[in-house]
Amino acid sequence: MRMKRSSIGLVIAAMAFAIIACGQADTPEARRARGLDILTRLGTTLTSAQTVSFKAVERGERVRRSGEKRAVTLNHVVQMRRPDRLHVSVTGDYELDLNYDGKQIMLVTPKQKVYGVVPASGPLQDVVQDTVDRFDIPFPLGDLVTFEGPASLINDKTQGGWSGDETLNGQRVSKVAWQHPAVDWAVWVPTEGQPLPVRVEILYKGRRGSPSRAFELSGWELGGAIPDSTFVVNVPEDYEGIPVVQRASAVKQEIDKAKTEGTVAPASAPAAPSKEKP
Amino acid sequence: MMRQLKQAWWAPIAIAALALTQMPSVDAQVARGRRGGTVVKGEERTVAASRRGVAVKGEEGYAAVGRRGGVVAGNNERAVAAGRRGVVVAGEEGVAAAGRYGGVVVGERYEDHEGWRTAAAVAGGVAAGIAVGTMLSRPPATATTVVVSGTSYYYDNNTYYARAYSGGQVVYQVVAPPVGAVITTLPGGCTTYMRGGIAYRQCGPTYYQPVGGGFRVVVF
Repeated sequence: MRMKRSSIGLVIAAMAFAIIACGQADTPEARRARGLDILTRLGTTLTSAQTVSFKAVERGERVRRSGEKRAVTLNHVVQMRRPDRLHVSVTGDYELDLNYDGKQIMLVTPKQKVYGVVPASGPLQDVVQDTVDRFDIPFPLGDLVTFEGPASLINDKTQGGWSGDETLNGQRVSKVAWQHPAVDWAVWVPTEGQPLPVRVEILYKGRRGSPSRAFELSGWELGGAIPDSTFVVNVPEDYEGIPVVQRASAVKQEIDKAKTEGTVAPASAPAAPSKEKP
Repeated sequence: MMRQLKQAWWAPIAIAALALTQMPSVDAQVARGRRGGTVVKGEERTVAASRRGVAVKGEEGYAAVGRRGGVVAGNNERAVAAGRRGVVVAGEEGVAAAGRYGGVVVGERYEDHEGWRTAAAVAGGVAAGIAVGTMLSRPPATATTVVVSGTSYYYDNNTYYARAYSGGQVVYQVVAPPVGAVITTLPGGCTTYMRGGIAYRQCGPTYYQPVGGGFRVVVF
């Protein structure tokens, strides 16, 4: 009888704890903390790997000047090797190979037999940021490539956090969703095993037409060998080099910086592109 | 991924751009454009283009650096400096960089020529023509390819387009007529211009010299 009472007591205590725990998880603070924890584990996993590669299928929207939205499907293959190697291949509704070899970013579009080269150096974080900010090259998974933790993506204007567990393609995943005045985004991370995202959704609220993008991610490989040849672009002889348009604001910033420092900025002209013969 | 829009700080920017090898100031170039070229004014932006230059003031802007073009800043108020093959001008109104085409480079992007026509019609600028720097996702359907010094241009109705990367995609950007380009048929409305005993054809701001089998773009 005494044993029985003890068991009942334990069950009641456990239920009470569960109720309290559930109540805590429902608070915005608890959800935020849990979301940050998931992102932290994601960041730790990614940064601990010397090499990272994955695939992504993107289904998104592009908004024309008229406001009309056009559906776009793209297949991304991303390979990176720390500290300064990156190769991204995009196929589908448009084609682009982007390669960073520590010295330059080379863009190649086989369909139109053209390539472009811009100077670049430094760690991947900087180059990815430059790719987006300076050259307006959409790289929505760029932050994922260089993701080190939530600090780079979450600030005091960001709200949200863990929003529940669900089953996605037969896998239990935690959904972490964030809202920011400019962008809403969510990431789905498996509840067990390596915390690598299987789905990412982004809503660009601040852009014309508020386009959205959804990515299904797969084929994660961390720490695998990626040979040097992956980051060497073979541009055929009959491909034509074309300029890469950059945002005027980026040019202005460069000039302003030079003026502030009282120095004449060195020409950022790239050397003649180093085309490897096929 | 998400950083892109969190940093939408660059949105409002005005741009002034010009071409060229020697340019005294932004204002001077714009004035030249207004006299000898075209001006398009719309709600969102003003575009002035001359045969050798263009200036654009708008909410957003783009500048291009050619694959061998440089960006160099000077210390004067308007920071005009030239790179190995390009020019950069920065002033209160904005900034632009000229690439290997010797020209500029700033412009809005449209899906196609029809998209530009629609927008220009709203702004009342169709008659002025499509401005240098304007980018189209695809060239006009009737465009023909002209190769000059190894660079492919796309010609249609006295307008020349060159390919460039913008936003990671290949676009067709209106450029100044490339010297040496040869076309087989002149656009309508050309007049004769005599110089040095040679009868050139002037089509808008572009001069052509008759050559065997066509007409070659020349500048004076």
